[in-house]
Amino acid sequence: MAGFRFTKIIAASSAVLVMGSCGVTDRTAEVSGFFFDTYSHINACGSNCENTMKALTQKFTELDTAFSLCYTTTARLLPDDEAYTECLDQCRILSDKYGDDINLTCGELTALWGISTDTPKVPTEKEILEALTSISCDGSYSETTMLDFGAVAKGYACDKAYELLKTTDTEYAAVSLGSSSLLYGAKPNGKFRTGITNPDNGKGYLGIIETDAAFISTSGGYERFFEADGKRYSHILDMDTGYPVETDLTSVTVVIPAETADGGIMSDFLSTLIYIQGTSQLDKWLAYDEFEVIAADGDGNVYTDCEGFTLDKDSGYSYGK
Amino acid sequence: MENKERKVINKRDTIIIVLIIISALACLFIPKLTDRGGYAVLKCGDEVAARLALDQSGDYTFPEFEGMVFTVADGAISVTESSCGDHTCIRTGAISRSGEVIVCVPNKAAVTIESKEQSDLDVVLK
Repeated sequence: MAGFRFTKIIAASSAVLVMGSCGVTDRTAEVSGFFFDTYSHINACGSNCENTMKALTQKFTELDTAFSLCYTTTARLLPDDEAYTECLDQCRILSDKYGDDINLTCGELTALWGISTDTPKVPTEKEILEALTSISCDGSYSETTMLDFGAVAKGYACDKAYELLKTTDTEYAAVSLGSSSLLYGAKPNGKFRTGITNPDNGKGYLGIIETDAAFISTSGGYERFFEADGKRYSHILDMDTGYPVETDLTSVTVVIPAETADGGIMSDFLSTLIYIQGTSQLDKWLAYDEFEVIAADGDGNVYTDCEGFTLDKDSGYSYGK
Repeated sequence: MENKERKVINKRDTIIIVLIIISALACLFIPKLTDRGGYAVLKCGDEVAARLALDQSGDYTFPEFEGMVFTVADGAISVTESSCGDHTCIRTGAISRSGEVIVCVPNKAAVTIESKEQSDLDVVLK
């Protein structure tokens, strides 16, 4: 629903390209606006930057419209769009490989809670049980299924941005979609620097990651949630119970090298999955070579295998184990 | 007297040179000191609705953001009241560093920080 409202803003923001300076000639461009229900920011450096920016903005507008549409209608009324099939296919592959805690057929359950809307509410037991029956365990869906791409939409958009940037003369770019980002190309004077927001709100950064080109996504329950009767309900839902997940982690960030095929959706998927599974499963995730993990728990511990990560000394966190 | 006149730099010259160096340094540092607080840039959609100096403490409201109250205190800005349902903007807390952002999606509001100290971050994940 919200996506429609923002299409106009996105269109308008695409027109506002702020020129800066890159080296001697003016070859950088910057744009910001509301995509994917978040404040997004892109900057790029290279020849023909303005056109690249326009193409990116257009791509994001298309994807935003496509994914927002899912919240308003069932699968039967959705247009043919490769964004849907690609996300579903890739999510199935990732689920087989890493775990099936994320399910894109949970749209009915998401709508029931309405956590990211203006009117969130705690549903009744009966409503939840009913919504649970609409979730298919293998990710297949019928015409009456409501799809929810929220768990992977931003990561997928980063993959699409990477594909698009590959076809341009962009030297480097930073695409930031709130919880997912793409760092593309190579900066002339060093590595990319990414700040991770401190899960204790208002306390600055948890730390800084220095990387080469990469896809980086963060998941946590500290920002999007609502409170009812003194209890906190986060926006990430448990597909078994139908309630928000109970996890002892507060923030999980996954870093994947940009050369990895479909690394964007993978980083988005994995950060959510690792967040859901909690500290008990962390050792397994830290052992993987394909990606790096930075996980913070509710007791002020940070667990990581990320070489480029530096903990902010004022974050109130320390390294666990 | 003859000896003193032969000196390349006499006492008066030294004072002048020192004064020049001090004023040069002052020119370098004074703008930085006074601008250290930076500004909060309030955007409604893609349009800048207001720019608030972070050293001017107080509560601010704007017609573009109905029901929202922006509070500047201790060189940082926060959203302290909002008409939105989820209150994500209020929970973000106070921001003061370049690169940080407060977002209220329902009100189409975004607050970013503009400061002389350039952010060395390419991305801030939240």
